[in-house]
Amino acid sequence: MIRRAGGFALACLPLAGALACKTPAAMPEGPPIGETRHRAPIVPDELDRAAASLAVAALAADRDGVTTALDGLERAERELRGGASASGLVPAGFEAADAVRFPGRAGLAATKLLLERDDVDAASRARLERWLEDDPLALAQKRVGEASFSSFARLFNAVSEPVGKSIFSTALLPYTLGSALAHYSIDFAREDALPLQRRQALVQWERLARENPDAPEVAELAPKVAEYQAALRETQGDHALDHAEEALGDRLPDAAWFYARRARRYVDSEKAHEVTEQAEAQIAERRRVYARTLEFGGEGGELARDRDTAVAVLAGRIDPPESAMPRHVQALKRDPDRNPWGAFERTRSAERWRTTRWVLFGPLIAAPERGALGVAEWVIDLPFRIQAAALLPLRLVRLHWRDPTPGELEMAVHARRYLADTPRGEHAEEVRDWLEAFERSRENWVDALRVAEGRPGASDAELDVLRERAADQALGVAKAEKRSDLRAQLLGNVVRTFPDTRAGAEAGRAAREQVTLHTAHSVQLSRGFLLENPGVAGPSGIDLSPELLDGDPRNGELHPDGVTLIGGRELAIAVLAESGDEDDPPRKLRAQLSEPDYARLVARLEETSFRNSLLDSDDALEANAQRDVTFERARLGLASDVDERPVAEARYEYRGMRERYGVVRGRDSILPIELVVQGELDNLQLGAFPRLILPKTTPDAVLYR
Amino acid sequence: MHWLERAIGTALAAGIACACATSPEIDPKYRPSASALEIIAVLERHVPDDTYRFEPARDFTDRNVYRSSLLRLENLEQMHADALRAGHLDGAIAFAKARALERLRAYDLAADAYHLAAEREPDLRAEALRSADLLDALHDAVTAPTPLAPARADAERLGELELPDVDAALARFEERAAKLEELARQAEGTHHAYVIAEEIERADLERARFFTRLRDVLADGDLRAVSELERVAMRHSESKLAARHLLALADLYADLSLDYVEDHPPEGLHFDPGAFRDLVDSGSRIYEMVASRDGAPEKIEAARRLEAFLAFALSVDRDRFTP
Repeated sequence: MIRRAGGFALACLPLAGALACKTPAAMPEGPPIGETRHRAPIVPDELDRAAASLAVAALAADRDGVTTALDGLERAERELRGGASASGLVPAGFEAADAVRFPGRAGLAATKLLLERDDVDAASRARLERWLEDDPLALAQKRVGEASFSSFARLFNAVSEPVGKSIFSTALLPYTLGSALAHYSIDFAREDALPLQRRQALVQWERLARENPDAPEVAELAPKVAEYQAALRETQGDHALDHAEEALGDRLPDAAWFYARRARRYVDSEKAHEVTEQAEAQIAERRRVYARTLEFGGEGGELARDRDTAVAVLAGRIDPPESAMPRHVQALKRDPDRNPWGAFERTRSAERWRTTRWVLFGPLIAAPERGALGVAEWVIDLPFRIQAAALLPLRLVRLHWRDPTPGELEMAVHARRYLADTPRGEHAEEVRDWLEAFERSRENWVDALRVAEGRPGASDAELDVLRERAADQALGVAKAEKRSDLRAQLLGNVVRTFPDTRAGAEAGRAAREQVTLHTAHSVQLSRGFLLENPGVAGPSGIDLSPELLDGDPRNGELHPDGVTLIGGRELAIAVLAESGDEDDPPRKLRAQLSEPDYARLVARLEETSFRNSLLDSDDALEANAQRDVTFERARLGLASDVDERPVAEARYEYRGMRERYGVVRGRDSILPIELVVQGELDNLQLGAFPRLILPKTTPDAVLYR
Repeated sequence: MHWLERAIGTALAAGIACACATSPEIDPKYRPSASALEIIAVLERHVPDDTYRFEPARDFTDRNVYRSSLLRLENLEQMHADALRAGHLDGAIAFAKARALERLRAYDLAADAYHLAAEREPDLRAEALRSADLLDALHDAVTAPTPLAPARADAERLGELELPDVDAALARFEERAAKLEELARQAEGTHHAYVIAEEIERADLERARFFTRLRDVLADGDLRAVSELERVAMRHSESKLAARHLLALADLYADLSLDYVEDHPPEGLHFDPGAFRDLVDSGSRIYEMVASRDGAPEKIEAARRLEAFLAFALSVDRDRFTP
């Protein structure tokens, strides 16, 4: 009987839970935030006074003074706290004293020593560890380690992948392994003399030498730096030479000459000389050709005859002779501005040919990269290319879903130009059909509608469907705009351009809503954030009424939207709708803080986010200039003087970690290896193999290319 | 095997103890003092930094360490107003704010904060007053009326403006430079020397800008502008802004090349390939120099501008110019 009752109770739990969620929510009975705040001054004790003395000695950069003051702080700690838990002031005191006693790089050793103490606060520990990691020598060491690991990982991966892919059939293993190692060798030969991470290390060593010329490490590193600098010159010379050869291949001899000259400034190689000579030869040839176009080259009589003809043509006495015009006609025919149809046809023909070749031969049509290594790579890959070329049906299927190609984009440009010039031209229908289909295929409904509207006799039903889709697209763009004034303009455009559509009506509602509900700022502190950071929600922050966070909707409960700082000193407090459902739009209460309380809230909020960022790497600080300016004004007591300009709007969300990442956060593996299971459609291969994960490039990698 | 079991047991217990150990928290009662010490420690470590030669350091918030310290001191004052009402940290906080403000070019506010610190903290009085005097003088020097005064109407020609008085402007620039040099001598051996070096650099830049902006109306304006920017680049080659000065010089050469092509169209008879090549070579060489500096943000700027400049130069090339 008891077991049956238990089962019944268990069955009822989800139902009870569901009902509980639907408990109607009341409005809070009292004010949502504390109204008056009386705070008594705190009298500093011996420890506080000792800390103040230490702060003064540190600011005065008095070495003896900080040592004496630190002794005083430790003595006060012993006397006041005795065997009780540490106050946490002593490690902070050591940090302040060390800043004076061990300036410059000597501070690194002192900080490492400080971190050996077990009474260092977690946030301070994280902050000091980050400072140590920012040392140029540590950064350089890390980058060099990454470079070495990357070299090894590439070789390991080159072997493990073909081996892993051969688990179902080892017959091809010798070939795939040989091919992978050949690829590795080619990549190795192509690698820069000084790869990215080593370049980054060199910059850090140079920074160290500039900032601390007398540091003993600088002299130790000098030969290494010289070696790296020579390798860097070689790398830059190679890059310049690559550019020069590329320009030469593209028939841009001037650019080739320029880059070859640059390459010679780094390393005056034979190859660079050769490219310079080739560029000069091309430039000379071009000059010769230009000079020839200016020469007449015929007999004096012919010149006189042509002159007479030209005068006659100009006077309108005769039609232009055909023989004199072929070159001009040819130029006219190839000019996309004057003959957009010709350009469209030419591009379409080239594109069709390219697509046909791709469908028939697949990767076989890819040209080898420049140089002997490119050809070698192409030859090594040939069997795979032939194998992949056989998968013609797959390419036929993929053809329908592939992204627009550069050729198609070029065709669209010519098509638009043609329709703009001659909307009722001989080929207008054909061009319009193609362009509309192209815009539809990439779901660009606004342009598809524009093309369709130009069609004589276009059906109203078809246009209506397109109009609805175009309006939806325009509404999406308008809603995604972050600046309120621009968003209002875009919404207005949607209303005016698509007045009779569903999206047009929605844009109208959104525009009205924006006018009525718009606030100068919107810095949102979600319920999750407030629950995770009680210091912000509590009396030293917002001083939110506890009933709003007690989980009981009957006495009023905070909505997940939480509290928003909306400008001035005003807060918008979102409470659950009457239904008690969190998904329903909240009811909004307004409250205002005094100038000092608002400044205190902002300071608490900022310090909390700083601390959180130190304690949790997933909670990194996000830069937001408008938010910072708004907070700065609040701290200075200028919150009531609201900057109403749309560009000054502070829009920011402080969200709890559980709201952002859920209960269980996805984490990057700390192991540098992963197991890959891979199948390839192109060659119908399946395999599983371990792969060493290459270190991620740092965000400043762009400054080394 | 008893010892083995015991060792494993001890290791397990130690592991569990480590896993369960919580990192110590600062007693909330002492949080204001601890925060003040922490901010002052970070700031003090960077007070001696040579901000003329090197970029200001960044702290864990990825902000300029002086700005960040100032914000955190303001936060401290707001958050712990009750704990600080006793005034035991007033002098230290005012002094620290002054140290931060002087690196943010707010010399007048920094001087005020130093005066407050001198009043509240006898141990800091001497240094605070020395710094305040120096910053007051520095504030006067950098806020003196700029030579870039509004143009005056020409009394003899109605509706026209007088040419700027170059000699008078130069005299004012020299006067400002002399004042700053004098302050630099006074501040020798202190961190204020770096602050003043930055101001001298700014004054030199302002002087170069004066001539760059007026190069179209002054006699030999182009030449003067080039020589002024070269002067800045050479005088401040050790500065953290050295790459920016070079970029400015390269930009000027690029502008001069454009002007040259506009004034002397390549198809015309007055176009001198040699003169044009001189300008293009000078500009592209300087751009290249900056573009080859690894790790500097100016590298990307220089590389892109060099490409744009080359595209322009090579468009001229067909008729009258070979690089």
